[in-house]
Amino acid sequence: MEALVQRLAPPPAHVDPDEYDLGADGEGNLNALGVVRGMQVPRVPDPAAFLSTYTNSMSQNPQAKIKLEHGTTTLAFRFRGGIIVSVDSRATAGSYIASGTVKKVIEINKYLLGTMAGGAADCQYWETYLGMRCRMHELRNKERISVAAASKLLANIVYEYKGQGLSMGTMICGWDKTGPAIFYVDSEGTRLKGDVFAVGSGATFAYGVLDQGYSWDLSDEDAQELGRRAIVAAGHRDAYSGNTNNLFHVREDGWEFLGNKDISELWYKYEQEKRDARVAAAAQPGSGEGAQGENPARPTTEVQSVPMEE
Amino acid sequence: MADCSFGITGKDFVLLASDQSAGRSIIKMKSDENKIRTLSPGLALAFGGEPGEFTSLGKRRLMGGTSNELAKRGGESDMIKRDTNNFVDYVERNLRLYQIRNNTELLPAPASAFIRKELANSIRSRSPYAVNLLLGGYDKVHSEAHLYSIDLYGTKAILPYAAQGLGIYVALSTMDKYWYPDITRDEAVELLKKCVAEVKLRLAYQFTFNAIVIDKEGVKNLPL
Amino acid sequence: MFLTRSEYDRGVSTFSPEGRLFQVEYSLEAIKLGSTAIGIATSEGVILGVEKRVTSSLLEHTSIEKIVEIDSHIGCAMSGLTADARSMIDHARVSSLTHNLYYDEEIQVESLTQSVCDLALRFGEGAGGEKRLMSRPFGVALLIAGFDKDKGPQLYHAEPSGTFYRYDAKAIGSGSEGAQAELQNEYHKSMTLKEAEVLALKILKQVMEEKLDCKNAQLASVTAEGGFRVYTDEETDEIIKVMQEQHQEES
Repeated sequence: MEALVQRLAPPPAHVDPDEYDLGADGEGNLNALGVVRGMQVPRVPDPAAFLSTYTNSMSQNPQAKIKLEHGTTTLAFRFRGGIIVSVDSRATAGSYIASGTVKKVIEINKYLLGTMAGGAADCQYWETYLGMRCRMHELRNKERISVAAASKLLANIVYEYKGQGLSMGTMICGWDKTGPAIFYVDSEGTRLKGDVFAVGSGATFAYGVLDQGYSWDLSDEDAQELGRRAIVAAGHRDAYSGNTNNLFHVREDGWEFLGNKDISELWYKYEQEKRDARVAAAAQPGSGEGAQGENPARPTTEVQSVPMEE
Repeated sequence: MADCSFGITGKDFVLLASDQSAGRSIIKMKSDENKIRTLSPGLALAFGGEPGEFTSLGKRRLMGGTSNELAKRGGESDMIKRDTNNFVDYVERNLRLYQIRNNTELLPAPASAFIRKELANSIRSRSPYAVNLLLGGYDKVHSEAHLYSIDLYGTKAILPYAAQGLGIYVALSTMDKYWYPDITRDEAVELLKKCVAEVKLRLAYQFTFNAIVIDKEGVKNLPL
Repeated sequence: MFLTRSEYDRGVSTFSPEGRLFQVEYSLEAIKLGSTAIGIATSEGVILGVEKRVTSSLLEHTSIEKIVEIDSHIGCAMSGLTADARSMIDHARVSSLTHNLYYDEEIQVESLTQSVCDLALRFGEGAGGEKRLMSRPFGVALLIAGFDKDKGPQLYHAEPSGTFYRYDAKAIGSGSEGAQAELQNEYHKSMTLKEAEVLALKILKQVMEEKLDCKNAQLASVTAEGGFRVYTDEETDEIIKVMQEQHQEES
């Protein structure tokens, strides 16, 4: 009973590295079973507070010298044809664009993708580690791990480190026996199953395009285009997102990378397409909509005008 | 109190929509408050306070103002509400006064200049107004519709479409995608509905909306 | 050697006056009781072949696992107390995956074998203060087959004593003496993978008491392209057929 209580109790805020025998078995911070035990943390009472003194990790100290990567837009959605995963490629450190060629989709294995938002290093390390644990599951059980199990594995890991300054917001996307599945996992320990997710500073802008264009029955092409368009929307409005878009499509036989495209170029391409569509509509005989020139007394069928009260 | 308003222009009309909530802190006290004011037959204003600015402005007033002044205003928390309504009342009456004096309506462009100037003066005063505005107007002389965004600092922008308050975050990208120059009225209404749907879908806050359309015939209610 | 049995054969960490560790030597004897396993390394890849002792017609033959995957580029065949192999194989898998996690590359077959042999010695305390993990040496030997970019296809034999050697072809288990002699005769450096498949089954057939079929024999290969792969029953049957045809032609 006591053991159970201990296991369910919130993790300690401070892990003493001496509690862990790092030298004997296994390698580095992994034990003989390949499971992470006791990452080294600063010898301070509250590692998270310590971290926030020197980094902008907790947003408590925006003046901190070390600025961790935070701005990002990543999205994933489930539809009839599988899963679309679409992300930007900008890494910011404060107001400085540290990189425009970041890989924010981590290829965990042939069937699983993880997205990266928050601390780049945290996501990269833990999702690569997750990949190892998934492979281990595969070797031990002669069966691929389910997306639910893989995401739970990650959620449990980050929960153990809760309050110690981890920063990740990730979507674990994949195809298993149950079909396509997406789980949102963050460093707070939240784990959510869902159809449409966007994560990062530009997520709200991505949602604005995604939600209004989303349908379960989207064709593959339309779904891929929606994924790109939503990232372009975020790249346009969010200063911390941009540069290029990486697009992935997860199907039953694994994921496929659909290419890297410049977000600005895409934006101007979409604007041009809007203009072209208007020209085409104006040229079409019998269609007055969108045409140039006066169009008096246009009947407004859907808009019912009623007198203003007051 | 969280706000959310939208404005969309077409060639000969402007749509304005605003949420109808009013309250204090996390409590919504009213969900049918009209936050769109018709200023003149071809001019209307959607207005909202800015909760983020409230604290700092409130503090400034606390430091600068006398306790008497504060009492007159009925305490800090009521300020945004009173500020926005007071300001819009003030604008409305001055525009009306101009009409009576000169026997002509102020066109949207000069009206926007007047409002901007008032806010620019206000921000430099001891008790600035904490108000964000979307001004929509139909210019009868040039037969054009215009949308202005004016913030509490006196920034004025002429925009084809705009969102203010929480709507910026979720619906501005929707407008980016679906709006096009000379958008038809039907499609503008559709776009507005998309924006409202997005706000209702993604924001944790429960908003209700009312909307108007301004064209050469004046200001009319727009059922959403 | 049993004639010299004395009290020195009790502890795993006590040498006899002649300088022998009896418990370790006995563990090698355990392997001689095990089913036969064969490994053949060719320039195209490595073939592993094992005998499965289907002791009863009621026994589900697929549940006998004598060839297992360690990682996509390494597999192994076992002989002896196969239960002991479980922890060795799990250790091998962890080593391979951990190497991949830390260095983003596939582990070399030799490093992997070394890692397994390090574990095999953990019946005593380690020089680096490592705790003693087991009360006795393993009773199982492994034929580790792998492919790496540096050295190509390789075959290693790992013993419970913690020693390992690289072989072109090696047989372990009860039939190992005859099988090794046969390998000595038949093996040549230019052997193809196909030839190695047939040779492995042919030798198994010679040393096995029962009639060879896909139920009591199993093959696996490690190649550059396909990595580690266990042959299906159909594939095994196909190779048995080829082997029988060749046998008829010869006779």
